[in-house]
Amino acid sequence: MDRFNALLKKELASELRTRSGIYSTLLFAVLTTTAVGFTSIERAPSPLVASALLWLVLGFASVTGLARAFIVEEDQRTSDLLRLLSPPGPVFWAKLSYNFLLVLAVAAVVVPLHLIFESVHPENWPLLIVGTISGCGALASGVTFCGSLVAKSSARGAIAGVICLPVLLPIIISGMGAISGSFESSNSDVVIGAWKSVAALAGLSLVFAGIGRQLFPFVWES
Amino acid sequence: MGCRENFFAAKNVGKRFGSQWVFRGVEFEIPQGECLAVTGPNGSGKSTLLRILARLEQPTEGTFSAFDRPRMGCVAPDLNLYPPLTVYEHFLFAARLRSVQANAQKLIEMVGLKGAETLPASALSTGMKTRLKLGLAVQHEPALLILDEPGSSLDAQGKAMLAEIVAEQKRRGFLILATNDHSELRFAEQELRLG
Repeated sequence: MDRFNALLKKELASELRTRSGIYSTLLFAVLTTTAVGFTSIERAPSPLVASALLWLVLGFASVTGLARAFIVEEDQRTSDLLRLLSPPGPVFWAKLSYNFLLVLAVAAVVVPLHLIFESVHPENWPLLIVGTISGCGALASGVTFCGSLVAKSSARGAIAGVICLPVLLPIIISGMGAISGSFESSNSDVVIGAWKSVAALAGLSLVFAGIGRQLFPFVWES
Repeated sequence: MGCRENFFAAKNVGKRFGSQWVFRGVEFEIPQGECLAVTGPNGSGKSTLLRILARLEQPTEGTFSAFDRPRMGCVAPDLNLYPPLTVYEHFLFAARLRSVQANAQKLIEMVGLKGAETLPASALSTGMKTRLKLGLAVQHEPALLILDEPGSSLDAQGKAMLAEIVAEQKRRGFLILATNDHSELRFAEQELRLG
């Protein structure tokens, strides 16, 4: 646990001092949210379209943070130092936790902006909050999983695109189901379906974190 | 990867990138308390051999005494520090990951970085970075210390500090040093020439 804390503190300290990840991610998220908002000036989108737009922004914003996970260690050539200092387990969990905090910070800015620009009004706030948090968890797990697999490859960009697609697609579809349900609480079937989507998001978080943790030592030592 | 107790040994170690062998048939055996100097021209594979011995790379063939990473210390030009972290934070960070006492002030004084504790690694000169790497490499009193051209960026004071670290390591365990500096060969009891 002490190793995990030290590694997470290192990630946060590095981010707070360079602000490279949060600024680029927030810039992308705010720009796209604002641009998408202009398309809804005359007519508010349906709950499903509104939630799809939200998850597209969050999904792509989380991918811009992909490089922060493991690729930055390879680019800065600090991964050897880390390998000498720490076993792979705490490194993986610290990177995942950092990515979760990053995506959560982006969501804390983007979701309120999205509600304002898209003129959508949540009718089920607990569902919106829990759905957003579990979606952020799933995105962080997925992005950390992909980042851990591609970091040591020389063709990271191409491989990341191929690996991220099947990982992020179910997360975004489940996220849409969860958030669209929070916009229409009058239909109980929709709300039940939305909570099932939240459960799916939690499951995806566990699956990607679990697989990533199992595979990471092999990549780490390769 | 077996070896006789109190000896660090490699047998028939070779490394190939693609179809090109960098080196083959590397063999040595050093007793505890001695230093092996690895020499050779640029491109002969000195750094690659040291990365293999540090278990940062796999050999294509051969065996060697394998130390667990927590029992090793390593200094190499391409072993980078974290640019935003300060000198002091590097010692704390490494200590927490190794579960040892940080001894930050003592090590900072030993490697001659007093006054630079709060500087981030990105603000350090190449020589200061090497000093910091040396301090980090010996923080946990490793059984095996691997030094890849450590003196190339050090001034006279730094080289004196390096000699102290070498002497201390020889009292403690094994030392492997890659160098092209003939003055550093005085540290070594054995020489392995590549290329």
